[in-house]
Formats: sequence, structure tokens, C-alpha cells
Amino acid sequence: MTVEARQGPTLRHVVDVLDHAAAAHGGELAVTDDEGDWSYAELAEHSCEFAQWLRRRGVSAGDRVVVCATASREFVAILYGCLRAGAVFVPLGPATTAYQLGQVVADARPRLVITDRIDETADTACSLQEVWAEVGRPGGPMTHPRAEVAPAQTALLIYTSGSTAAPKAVVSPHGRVLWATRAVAARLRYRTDDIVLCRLPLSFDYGLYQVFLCALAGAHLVLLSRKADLRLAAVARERGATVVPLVPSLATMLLHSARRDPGPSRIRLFTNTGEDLPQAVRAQLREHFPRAGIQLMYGTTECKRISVLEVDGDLRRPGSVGRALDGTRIRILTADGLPAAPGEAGEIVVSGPHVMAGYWRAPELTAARFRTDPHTGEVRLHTGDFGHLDGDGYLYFHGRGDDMFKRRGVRTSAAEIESAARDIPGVDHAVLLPPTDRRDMVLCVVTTLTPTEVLRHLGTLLDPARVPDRCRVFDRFPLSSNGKTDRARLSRQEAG
Amino acid sequence: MPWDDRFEALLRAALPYLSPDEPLSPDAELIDLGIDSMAAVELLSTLEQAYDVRFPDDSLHRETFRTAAALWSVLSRQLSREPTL
Repeated sequence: MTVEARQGPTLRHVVDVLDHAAAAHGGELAVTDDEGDWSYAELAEHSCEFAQWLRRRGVSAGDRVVVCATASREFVAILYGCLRAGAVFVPLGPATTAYQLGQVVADARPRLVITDRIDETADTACSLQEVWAEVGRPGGPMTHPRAEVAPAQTALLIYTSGSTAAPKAVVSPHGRVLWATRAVAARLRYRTDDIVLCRLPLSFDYGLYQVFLCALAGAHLVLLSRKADLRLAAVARERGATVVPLVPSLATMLLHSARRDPGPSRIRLFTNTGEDLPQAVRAQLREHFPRAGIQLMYGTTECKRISVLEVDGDLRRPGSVGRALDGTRIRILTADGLPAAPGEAGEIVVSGPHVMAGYWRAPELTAARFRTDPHTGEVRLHTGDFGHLDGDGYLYFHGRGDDMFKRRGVRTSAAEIESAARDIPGVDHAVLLPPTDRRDMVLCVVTTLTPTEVLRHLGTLLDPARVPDRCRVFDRFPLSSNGKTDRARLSRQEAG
Repeated sequence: MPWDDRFEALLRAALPYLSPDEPLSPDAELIDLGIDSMAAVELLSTLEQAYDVRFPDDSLHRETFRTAAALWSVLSRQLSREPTL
């Protein structure tokens, strides 16, 4: 396939994705939420109305607009409307606390904050419901405006948690968001007739990019709220879902629902990134959804996506998270900064047109992570994550940088011990809390086994330095707002 | 206590913010006691197995899991309909 064929029509601005979908599939359903459906033509129209409303409010190119809300059709229209007006969209999820919103507002200095919440945060923000009621009102001649923006101009600020105390935002320009979307689309191959069931918050880039991936393919995005959580399998069936992006907690909920309510499913593809989908969970998905493939991916908001494995590639190459996106490069660098040999572990460093433009107003942090090669001028993203490449260029992820530590003189990672613990029959989930200056490492597991049984079995899989002395059994793990295991909370519980 | 011990024990297991020495009030918001979607889904399965009942589809929404009283009311309605053998 030529580059031209893969790239499709000329797209310079993220809104072009929507406008092309509206031109090509205007009558097809674009987005559905608990309250109803919009076609691509309707979504494009609503995004124009919102862009005009923003102009009436005096919002201009480069101004930030924070939206803190549950995923909905209006959320998507506001996203495209902001971009159409040349504004920078800053998504926050419904679980954002007033404290966190305050931090983001202080950092992003938005022109406008829009929320669907009715608590103390509403004092300084516009109500999404009220905004939307105004948006529909006629306000001057209706045009289809699209601000002229250069590809280098910022489309999104995506706030991520991380090792720093304060939240930091990844500056995501139009050109790179588009490039990353198309590179991911080339691997996932969403189809025009796909119905993508999204229960992820749209503040999480894995959720947010479902909007762009669907528009690029002309597919139908179905946004679920937490109302659907108790009957996910039934809802997937009713909606005719064919693709479901998963994080482990969502997969577990879907499986619970599928067990108590078995029935046919049209799901053809599960995708996963953000947090490793344990082997036990993948096996159960395959048992309950025999027609669905599983596609594992790995990435970081700083470049959107790093690698994608083929569908069901986890069966052929266990432990791999796939090859680099086409047109990008993954390097493994040792502690000396030298290229690692195939099979040798080191820091995962990526380069390519998907690498975003750094952190918002954080030049030091940006310089540390987004390093310019002095010889070529190429920007290399130092992910801080560890892994290795095999001889065929497949990446194996070992752990987030923060997870690496030394115990009894042996360098190891939480991911390595967790992976072994999850291979013990009867263990569903495992999280290793690395040692701190106050306590040794602790293994937390969701299992029907006793702690002693887990540790005894782990002792047959790993060397003594990698076997914890303490194991705690949980019925389930606390979750963060993105549905990932909340390691920080587990760690606090363990300290307290 | 308006419910049986088994219900109390199973529900408490899903409420990380309720310490063992605190009473479980019928009208306390379970979400404030730390229940989340994942725990609710698991509690649903556990209750269905423990009592050998099936919650009807139209009860599978958040209102059912809002308070202990609401949850027990849905469960006990099923119990009166489907006596265990």
C-alpha cells in the first residue's frame, strides 16, 4: 500500500476528519449517548453552532476551553466546536475533584470552563446544560466556519498524572494528533459499519481518540455512562457493538455481565492499552466472546501510541505489545545511553511525527523527556519506561520507570513480579508495591488462594530476591477515574 | 437490622470506607462508603449466587445499589418470589 493510499484525503486540521465524515457519510450515525443519536451531518452542524457560540463569547484562536464532564454527544460537539474555532480543547473527566479542577485551571488559564456537575466547582464554571441551551438559539447568520490554523498549532491539552506532584498537560498539535490518529487507524482498521462501544472517559486519550478513529472510518461511536455498568454485555448486544476498547476493570465488568447473561454478541474486536490486560482476563474474554479478536497496544500520552500488536498476536508472541507505528521508531537505550542489543532491556525511547510538542508551560520537564538529538535535530521521547525489542522489532514492556527498583542487590521491576504472580493459576490480578524507606515490597493479589499459597507458588517461578515476604489478598482493587488499578491508593492503604 | 447477617457481611465486603465497628445504616449512600461500579457488579454476582436468585434486568441500575435499604428491598422481593430449595 502506498503512503498516499493509507493517508487518505488531505487533512490539515482535526475538524477536517469530521467534515470529511459528514460529506461522505452525513446520514450515518456518528455518536450515541444515553439520550439519543446524532448523524455525522448533525454532529458537524452542532459543532458549527458551538464554534459560533464561542465566538459570540469572545473566545478566539489559542484560548483554552476546559470541559469537565461525562462523555456525551454534547461533549463531542464541544470538542469539535472548540477546534473549529481555533481554541484549545482541555478535557477532564467526571471524576475530577474540585481540588484537581482548581489545579488545572491555575495551570491552563482557560478562557472558559464548562461542566455538567452541580457542586462547588460550578461557581466558577458554566453549566454545560445552560451553555447547550444557548448554543441552539439562532445567533446571526449560520456559516460553516473553520479557523485557519497551522498544523503546528495546539489542538488539545491532555492532562496526565505522573511522577510529578502537580498535573501536567501534554501539548498536542493538530498535525500530530491527525498523524497519530491515522497511524493507529492503519493498524486497528475500524470499518464504516463498526459500532464502537466506549465506556472510557473522554479525558483519557484512549477514550478521546475513539472519537477521531470513528470519524476517520465513518464508524458509529456509542458512549456509555456508568448507568450501563451492571449490564455491559446486554448493552453491547442491544447496541450491536462490534469493537470495545478495554482496560482491565472494564473487561472484568463485561465478563461478569456476560456470565450472568450469556447470549450472542457481534463484538469482533477488543483493544487494550493503558493498563496491561492480564492473561487470565484475555482467556476469559476468548471463552465468552469466541468471535472477537484481541489487539494489544502500548503507548503514552506524550506520543499517543507507541506500538500495536496484530489481532490475537498475544497468542503467538506472549508478552509483546507489538511493533512501532509505521513511520515511527522505537529505540532501547541502556543506562549508558547506548543502543541495546535485541533482547537486552533498557529505556524505551521513541521518535517520529507522533511525538507531541512537550508539556504545557514546563520547559524543564519537557527538555528532560523530549530530548533533541544534537546531531540530527530529531526529537526523541524518553518515556522513562523499560522494555526490550526482539530480533523482529517486537516490543516487550517491562515496567514504568517508577516501577524499577533494586532489592537484595537485584534490579527488578514491579511489572516483572506482577507478571509472574498473574501466571499462578487462581490469581486474577496482581499489583506489586515497590519497597519504600518504611517497608519492604508487598504483593497485592485478587485471588481465591491464601497469601501463603501465592508466595509459595511464586517462589517456584522467581528467585528469592524477587519473591516478597508479604502478600495481601483483596476481593478487588481500588480503581482510578480512568478505570485503571489505583496503585497510589493501594500503597496508601498499605502504609496506613 | 432490617436484613439478614449474610447480606450484611456480603455488602460490607464491598464497602472499603465502612470500618467493621461502624453500623451500616439503611439509608447511607453506598457510594460514600466506597462502592464503585466494579464492586457493584461483583456484589450483584455474589448476591445472586449466595441467595440463588436472579435480579431482574430492570433492576440493574444505580438506584438499586444506592443504599443498603434499596438493595435489600430488591433482593427480598426476589426472595419472596423464588424461594430457595
